[in-house]
Amino acid sequence: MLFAIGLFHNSVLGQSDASSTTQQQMEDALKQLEIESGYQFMYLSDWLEDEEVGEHSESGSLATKLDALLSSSTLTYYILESEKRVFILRNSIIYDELPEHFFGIPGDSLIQQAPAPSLSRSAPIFYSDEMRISTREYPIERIGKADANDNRSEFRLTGRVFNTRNGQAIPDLALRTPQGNLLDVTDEQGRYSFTLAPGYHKIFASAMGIRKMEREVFMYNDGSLDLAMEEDIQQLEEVVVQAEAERNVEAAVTGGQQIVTEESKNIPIVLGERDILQVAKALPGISSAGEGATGLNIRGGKTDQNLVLLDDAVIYNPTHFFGIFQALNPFTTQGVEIYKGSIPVEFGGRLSSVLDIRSKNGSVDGIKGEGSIGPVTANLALELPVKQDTASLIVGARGAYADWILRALDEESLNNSEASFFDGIAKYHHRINESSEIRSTAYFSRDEFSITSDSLYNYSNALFSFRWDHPISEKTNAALFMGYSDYRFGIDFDNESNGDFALDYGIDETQLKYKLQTKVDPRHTLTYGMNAKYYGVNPGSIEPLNSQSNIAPFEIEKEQALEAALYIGDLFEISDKWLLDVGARYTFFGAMGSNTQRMYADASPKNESTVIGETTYGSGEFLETYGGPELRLSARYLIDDDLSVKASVNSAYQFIHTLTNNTTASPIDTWKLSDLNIKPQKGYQASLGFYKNLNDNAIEISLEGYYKRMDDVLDFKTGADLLLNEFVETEVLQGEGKAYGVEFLFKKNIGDLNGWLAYTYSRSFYKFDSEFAEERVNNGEFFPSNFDKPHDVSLILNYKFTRRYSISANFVYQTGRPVTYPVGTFRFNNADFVVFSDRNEFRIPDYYRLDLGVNIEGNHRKNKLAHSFWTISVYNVLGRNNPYSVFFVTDNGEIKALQSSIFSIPVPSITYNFKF
Amino acid sequence: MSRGYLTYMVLTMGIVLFSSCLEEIDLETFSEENFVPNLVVEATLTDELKIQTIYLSRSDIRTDLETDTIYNPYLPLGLGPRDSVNVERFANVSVKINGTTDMNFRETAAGIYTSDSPFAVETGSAYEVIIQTNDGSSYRSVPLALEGKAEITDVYAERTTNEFGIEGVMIYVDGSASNGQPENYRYTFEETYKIIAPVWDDEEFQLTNYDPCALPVPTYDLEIIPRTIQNQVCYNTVPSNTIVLNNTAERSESAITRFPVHFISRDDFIISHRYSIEVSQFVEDADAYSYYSALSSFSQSGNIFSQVQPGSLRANVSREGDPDELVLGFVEVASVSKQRIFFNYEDLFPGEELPPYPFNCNLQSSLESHVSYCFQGMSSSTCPQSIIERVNLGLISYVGLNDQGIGSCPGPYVYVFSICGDCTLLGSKEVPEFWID
Repeated sequence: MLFAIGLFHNSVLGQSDASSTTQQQMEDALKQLEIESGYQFMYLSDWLEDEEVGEHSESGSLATKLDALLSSSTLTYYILESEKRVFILRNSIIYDELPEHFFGIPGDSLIQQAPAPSLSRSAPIFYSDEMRISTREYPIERIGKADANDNRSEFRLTGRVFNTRNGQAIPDLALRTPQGNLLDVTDEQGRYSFTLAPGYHKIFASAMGIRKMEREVFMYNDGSLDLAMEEDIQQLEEVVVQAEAERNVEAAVTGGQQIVTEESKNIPIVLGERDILQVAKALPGISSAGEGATGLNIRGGKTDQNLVLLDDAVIYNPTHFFGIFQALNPFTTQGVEIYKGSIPVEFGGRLSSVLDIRSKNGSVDGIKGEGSIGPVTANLALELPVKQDTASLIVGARGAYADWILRALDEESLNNSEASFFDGIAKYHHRINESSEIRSTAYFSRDEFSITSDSLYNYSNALFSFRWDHPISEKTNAALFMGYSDYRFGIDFDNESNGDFALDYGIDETQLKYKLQTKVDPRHTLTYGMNAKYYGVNPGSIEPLNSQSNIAPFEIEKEQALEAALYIGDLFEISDKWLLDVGARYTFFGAMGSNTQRMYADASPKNESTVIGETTYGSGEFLETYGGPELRLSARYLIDDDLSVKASVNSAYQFIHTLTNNTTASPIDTWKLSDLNIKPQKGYQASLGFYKNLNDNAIEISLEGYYKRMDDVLDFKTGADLLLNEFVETEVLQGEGKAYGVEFLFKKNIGDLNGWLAYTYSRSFYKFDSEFAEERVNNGEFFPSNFDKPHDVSLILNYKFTRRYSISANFVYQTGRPVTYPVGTFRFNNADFVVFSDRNEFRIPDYYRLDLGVNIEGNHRKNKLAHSFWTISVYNVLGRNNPYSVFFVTDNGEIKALQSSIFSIPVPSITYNFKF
Repeated sequence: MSRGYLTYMVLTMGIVLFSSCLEEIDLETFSEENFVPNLVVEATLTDELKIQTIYLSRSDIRTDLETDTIYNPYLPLGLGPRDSVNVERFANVSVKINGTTDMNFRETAAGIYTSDSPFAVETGSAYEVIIQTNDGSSYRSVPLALEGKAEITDVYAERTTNEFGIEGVMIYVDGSASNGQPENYRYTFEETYKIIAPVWDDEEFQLTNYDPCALPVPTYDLEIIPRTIQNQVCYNTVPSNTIVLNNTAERSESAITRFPVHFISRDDFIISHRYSIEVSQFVEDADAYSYYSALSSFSQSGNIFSQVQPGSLRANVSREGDPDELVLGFVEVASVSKQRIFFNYEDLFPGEELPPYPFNCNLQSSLESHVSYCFQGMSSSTCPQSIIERVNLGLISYVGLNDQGIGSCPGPYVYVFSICGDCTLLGSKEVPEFWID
C-alpha cells in the first residue's frame, strides 16, 4: 500500500518542511496538541496547506480538542487509543482515491511486531471494527520475521498460486499493485516472486477464469505466501474467447490468441459440435481454404506449417471428417494457445504457428462428468479423482454414429458412402507437492470414410505424452517431457477384382524435451532447454487385400531422421514500460539411413534422365544434415497502462513437409522428411502491433501488421503423382513465399452482450522459378496461394437474456479463394479438354455465412442430478450456396463446369449436453 | 430417446449428406483480345503397318461448348449447334526416323495429316514428329521410342454392378506382355451397335407441290407411299472419348487379367440388339502415361472435398527457338493390340425388358394443313405444327391412320418423331465390313 507508506514518510519529513503560513499554523497547533495529549500525531504536512486553523480548545477530551481545531478544515482524524496515536486524514482523499477496503485492519497484532528497522516508527494503522467484518476476505499476511539489523529497502515475496477446486497451479496469473503496476506473472507451476519495500502493501491477483483476489501483506522480511484461488464461474459463462485480458496489452508476445473450450460453447458451429479450431478461424489471420478443408492457414502459411500440440505432443491431423469437426473432445480440452506472430523459443520445427492445445486436469475431489448427444456424435467425459486433492484421471470418448443413421434411412444409394469417426483420450494428473506435478495423456482418433463402394479410406492419430514439472532450485523450475505421436492412413480398395489392394502410410515421432526456467532476478527470466525428436516414416506400402488379388507387395524405403534443438531465451523487463523477450535457438536435422538416395546432375531438372548415381547409406548414417540458428525477438513498450506497442522478429526452419497435389489439404497427404534432394523450408516474420484495453479490460482492441518471407517451400509439378512415388523429388518444386497483412480485433469480453469483430486484410503469394519450363509455375512469377483471401471479416456475438437463455450469432465474410480457371478448350482423344489459365488467376465468388444459435441452460436447482444445456443452432441461416471449388469435367467428350459446395442450405441441429 | 427425436436426427443427417452438392455452372468465355490459340498435336504412331495419322488443331477460346450429341426432334438434322474444331491447315508434317529418314505426311482432310505410305513403328528406332505450320513456325517432338509389346489375349463382357451400384455390362480385357516389361497401358475402343427403329412403318409420307404461302390456303399433295429406302436397321460406330489407363507396376505378374475397360449401363439403348466393341491396347511409356493420367485427373470431379490442382499440361512437342510456348496435346509411339467381340442383349439379359429408347416415341397427330404463312389477318390457332410442315422439315415418320382421335388437334394420320421411325438419323444403313450377325 504505497499510499500508506507515503503518508508515513511524508509525515516525518513534514515536520520540518513547512512552507506556507496556514500550513505552519496548523502544524504548530497540531504539535502543541501532540505535546499536550501525549499522543503521537501522524499526518502529511502538505495536507495542512490552505487549511484554516480552528479554535484551540483548552478543555475536553482529545477528540473535542481535535474537533475544534479541525472544524473549519477538510481534515478528519482517527484516534488509535491502544497505540496512543492520532491520524490526521483528508476525507476527500480517503474516499475518492483509496479503495474502500483500505480500512479495517485487525491492527493490534501488527503493532505488536517490531516495526521494520529501516523505518523510524511503526506504520500507520487505520482502524474500523465494523468494516473489518464486512469487507475483508483475508487477514493481512505478515511476511517474514522482523530483524532489527536488516536494513534492506526491499524484501522478496515468493509463493505459489493454485486453484482451490483441483489444486492445480494457476499459470499466467498477474500480480500487481493497486496502481496496476505488474509485480510478476506466475509461471507454469503457478510460482511467482517479486520484491516489495518493507511495510504494508496491497496486491491484486488476476488471471483468466479466476476470481480476482486482493491481499494485504506486511513485509517484515523475505517470505512466502501461497494463494488459493477460486474459479470465476460467472465470468466463464459470459466470456467467449478471452486472451487473458491484460495480456493483450502487457505480454511481449505478438500474434498470440487463446481460446478456451468452455467459453466458446455458445458459438454456433455446424451440427452443434463444439470446436475450438473452427472458432480459431474466426480470429484474425487464421483461415482455411474452405469450409470443408482440412488444416489451417495461418498468416499466409501452408497447412503443414503449423505445429499442433496436444499436451505437448504433436498431433498430425486434429480434425475429423475432412476438417469439418475437430478431433479433440471438447469436454476434456481446456483450450488452445495460438502463436502466429512471435513464437516462444521453446517451440520450433514449423514456420507459421504453434497451436498449443491443453487438456483439462480432472477433478480431485469428486466424480464429475459431462456428456452430449448431437445429431452426429455422442460424447462422454468423466473426471475421476484417484487420490483426494492430489491425483485425478479424466477420460473422454466420442463417436459418430452417422453409419447407423445411414442404415436407418434404408436408402440404397446411401449405402455407398459412409463416414464414421471416433476419438478417445485419457489424462492422468498427479500433484506431487505444491510445485511439482506429473501429467500424462494418451489419445487416439480414427476416421473411416468411403465415397464409392470400392474404396475405404481411414486415418488415425495416436499420441502419448508424459510431463513432469518440478523445481530444481529456489529460482529454477524444470519440465521434463516425453512424447510419442503417430499418424497413419490407409486406403483399402476392394471391388472384387484381382487388383484389390491395401495401401498404407505412417509417420511417427518420439520426442524428448527438457525445459528449464530460471528467475535470475526480478527483471530476468531465462527459459532454456533442449528438444530432440526421432522420426520414422513409412512413405507408402501396398499389398494385396485378398488372395485373389495379384497386387505385388511393395514398400518404399523407410525414412528416418533426428531433429534436435537447443535454445535459450530471456524475458527481460527492462523497465516498467519496456519488456523484451529475446531468444535464440539452434536447430539441427539429420536425415538418417538406411536409405538409398539418388543424385541428379547439377543445373538440370530432377527427372529420370538426369539421374547420375545412387548412394546407399547404412543404418544410422546421416545422409544429409541441415540446421542453423533461429531468432526469436519480441519487445513491448507500454505507452500507457492500457496501451502498448509491440514488435517482433523471428525465423524458423522446417524439416518436414506435406506432399499434396490438391488445391486443399486432405487427410491422405503424406508427410515427407527433408533429405538429400529436398531442402528444409525457412521462414522469417516481422510483426508490429498496437494493443489497447478499455473499460477495465472489458474491451480489447488490437491492430497488428506482419510481413513474412519463406524460402524453399514445397509445391509440385502440375499433375504430379505423389502417392507411392519412390522418387518424389522429381515432382517437387521448391520456391519462395511471401505474405503480409493487417489484423484488427475488437473484443468485448464481459457483459450480457459479448463477442468480437475481427477483420484481416492479408495476401499470400508463392513463386516457383527455374531455368526449366517443367519446374516453373506461372512463368516463375509470384502467384496468389490457394488460400489468399484478402478480406476476411468475422463477427461473433453472444447475448444473454437471462441466466438460462442466450443467443449467439456468427457471421463470416471472405473474399473468394483463387482458382485456376479455363480460358479455352482444345480437342484431344475425341473429347474436349480445358486450357487452364495461369495458376490461381481467377477467384470463386465471395464467401459469406451467418449461423445462429440458442442456448438454454437447464434450471439451476441445487439438488438436480445433472445440469443440462441445450444448444439449438442453424448453420448457414442465409442458405448461401458458397462455392467450395470449381471442377471442369470432361464427360462424354463434353466439358462441364461443376461447382461444389459443402453446406449449401441451412443446417439445423440440436445438441443436448449434461454435466454432473 | 423419444421417437420424435430420433426422426429429427435422421432428418438432420440426411440434410447434411444432401446439402453438400455439385451443380453445373456456366463457364464464362473471355475476350479474344489476349487470346493466342495454342497448337494442339495428337498422334499415336503404332507398330501396325498402316497409313499413320497426325492431327493438328488450335485451342479455342470458347468454353461454352454446345453439345452436338443430343438429338433435338424439333430441329431438322444438321441445323443444331455443333462443336467445331479449329483445325490447323496447310502445315508441313513429317516424322524423322532415327534422325535420318523422313516419312512425309500430307493433309488429306482438314487438320488430318496422313503418311504418304504405310509404315509401322519398330522397336529400337527413334521417331521425331516435325511440324512446320503455315505461319512458318517449327515444332519438334522429343524422340519417341517403343516401350515394349503386349497382346490382348481376351476381351469379354459380363453382366455386373459398378461401384455406383448401377447394373450393366462391363467389358474386361486379359492380356500379356510379349516383349520387354511394359507396365503402362492405355485403352481405346470403338463401339458398333445395331439400331432398329422402334416405330418403323413400311409406308411413308410423300409431300409434293408444297406451297405454304399460297392463299387462301397452302397448296400441297400429301400421299402415303410404300417406303422406297430401307431405314429400319442401321449400325453406328463411335470411337471412345475417355481416358482408360492401367498400370501394372504394382502387380505381382505382368499379365493383365480382368481389367475393366468400359462399362455400359443396362439402360443404354446401344446394347438393345447386337453390340460390338473393338478394344485397342497401347503400351505407353512413363511420360505418355503420366500425361494421360494428369489430363484425366484434371477432367474429373473426384472427391468434392479435395480437388487436384489443375494446370495446363505441356505437350512433348515444343517450338524451336521458343521452348516456353505452350503446345498442347501429346504425340507418342506405342505398340498396339486389338480385339473385337460381339454380344446380343439376350445373351446377358435373357428374357428381360429392352433398355428404354432414349427418345420420345409417343404417337402424335396434328392437323394436316395450317393457315397460309402469307395470311395477313388475325389467326388464333393454338394447334401444334401441321403435318405438311413437319413432313417438309423432315421431322416425322408415318405410322398409320388416326382412327383413335390422337392429339389435341387430331389430324388424319398418326406419326412419330423421325428418330423413332428412321434409323439413319442415328446410324448408317450399311453393314460394317467386320459385322457378324
